[in-house]
Amino acid sequence: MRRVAVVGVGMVAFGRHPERTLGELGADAVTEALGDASLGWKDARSMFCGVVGGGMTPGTRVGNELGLTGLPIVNIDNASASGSSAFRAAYMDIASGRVDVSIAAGIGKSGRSLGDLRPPASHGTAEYRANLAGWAQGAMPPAGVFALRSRRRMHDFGCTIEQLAMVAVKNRRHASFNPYAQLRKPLTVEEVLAARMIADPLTVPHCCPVGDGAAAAVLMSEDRARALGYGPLVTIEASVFRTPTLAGDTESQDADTTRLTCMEAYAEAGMGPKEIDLVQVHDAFTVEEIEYCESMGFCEVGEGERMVERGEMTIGGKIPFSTDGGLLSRGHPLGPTGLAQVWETVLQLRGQAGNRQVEGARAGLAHMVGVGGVCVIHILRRG
Amino acid sequence: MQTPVVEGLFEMSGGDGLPHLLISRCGQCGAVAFPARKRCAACCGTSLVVEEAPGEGTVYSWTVIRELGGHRAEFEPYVVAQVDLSAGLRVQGLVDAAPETVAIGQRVRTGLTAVPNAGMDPGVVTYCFVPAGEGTR
Repeated sequence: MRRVAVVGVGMVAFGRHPERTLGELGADAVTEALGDASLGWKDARSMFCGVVGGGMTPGTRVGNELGLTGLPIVNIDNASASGSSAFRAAYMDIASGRVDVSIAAGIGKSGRSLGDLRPPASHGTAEYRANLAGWAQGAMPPAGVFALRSRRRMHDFGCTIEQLAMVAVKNRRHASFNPYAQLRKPLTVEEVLAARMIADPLTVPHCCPVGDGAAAAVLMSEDRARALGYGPLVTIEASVFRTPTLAGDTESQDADTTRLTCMEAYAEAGMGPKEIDLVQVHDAFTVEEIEYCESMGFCEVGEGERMVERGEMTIGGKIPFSTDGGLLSRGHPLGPTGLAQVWETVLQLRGQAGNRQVEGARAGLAHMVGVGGVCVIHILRRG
Repeated sequence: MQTPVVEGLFEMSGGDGLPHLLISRCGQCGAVAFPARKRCAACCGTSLVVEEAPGEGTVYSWTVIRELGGHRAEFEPYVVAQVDLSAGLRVQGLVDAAPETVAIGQRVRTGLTAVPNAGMDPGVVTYCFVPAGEGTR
C-alpha cells in the first residue's frame, strides 16, 4: 500500500442553498478543493461522492458540471458516514497504486432523505410490513434514540442535562469562529434547557440541524505530493471502517463500534490518544460527543461529561473536540459532513484555521458513525 | 374486535392472558432476538426457533416523542421505552402511561394499544408496556 496525502480541501458553507442543485453545490466544493491544490478537474483520475438519497448518480451530475473527462465516478450512500466512506474509497484508490490523484466529494440537501410521518400506503409489500413493524415498536426518530441514551446515562453516571447542554454551548462557540458553519449565534446553557422539547430530555439545541452543503478533498500519492513540493503536507496515517458486532462491552452499540474502530486506527497509525491533538466527532446529539470521547480513550467511561465541564474539550483545552462547531453547529447535511471534518482537520494541521486554531496541532482524528451500523475513522498528520 | 397491526411480532394473548412478544432463539448459540430473526446475529447460525416471551420486564430507559419527520401540528406525543424482558433481552415498545408515571427500573408488563399518529382504525393494535399491576386500556 502506498502512502497518501491530502493536497486540497474545499467547502460550500452549510446552511440553505435552494438556488443551487446538488450537482452545482458539489461542483463548487470540488472546484475550491482543486484550486486549493493548484490542480484542475482534468488532473483527477477518479471521484467518489458521498450522498444520502439525491436520486440516481448525483456524484456523476457533479462531474457533468465540471466537464466530461471520462473518469470513474462512484456514488456512496452510507448514511451519516457517506462522505467519510467516499474519503476512504479515494484513499484506497491511490494507496492501491491504481491512480495518483483522486477526489472525495460529499453533497447534501435536507429533506431528501427524511421519511413522511405515516407509513407508505403500498400495502402488501415486504417493505410495508417492515415499516409497520417499526411503527409497532414505537416509531423512533434519531432524536428519540439518543434521548433514550441520554436519560440512561444520566441514571448510570449521575450526568446532568446541564452537562449535556455544555456540549452544544461549546460547539456553538467554536462555530462562531467558522464562517462555513450553519449556526454561529452564541448559545447559553439556559437557552438550551428552555428550547422546544423534541424527545425528553432533549431540546432542539441538543440535536444537529438539517441543511444543505458540499465539501471535497483532493488526495494524492505522498511521493508525488512531495515531488510537487506541497507543504505543509498533511498525510493519512489511518483509514479504518467497521460495522458493528455483538462483542461490545458498553450499553451503546455506536460507542462499542467506535472503540473497536479507533483501536484499529491507533494501531494502523502507530499512535495513541496522547498523540492526537484535535478530534472531529459525530456529535449529531450532545450525548454522543461524551460517549465517543470515552470510546476513543481520552478518558474513562463515565468521565466524559466532566471533561466537557472542565473545558478540556474546548479549543485551548487538553483535547479539543468539534473545533469547527461539529454536527451540532457547523451542520450535518449527511453526505458532505465527513468531508467537512477533513476540511477542518487539514486547515488545523496546516495552521490555517484562523481564530479557532489549535496551537501546535500535529495530528487530528475524524470520526463518523452512520445509521444502520457504520463507523469510519481517519487519522491525519502534518508530515 | 382488535387486530394486530402486523403479523409475526407478537401474540395477542399468551398463556398468561398477556400479549407475548415473538422472539427467536438460536439453536446453535442460544442468542435471543426481537423481532425474531432468520439468521443469528451473534454466530450466523441458521437453526433459529421462534418462541413467546413472557410479558414482564423492567424499564431500561424511556422518552416522549414530541415530533417526527418535521411534523408537530396535530401530532400526538407518545412514550417509548426500552424494556429488559425477563427472557433476557432488551426490546423497544410504546408505553401506555402518562410520562410522569414512568421511571427507569420500573416493573412493567405487556398490554395492547393503538398505533399513534398512523391514521389507522382504532381497532388495529400493537403491543405496549404498562406499569405492572395496572389494567390494559
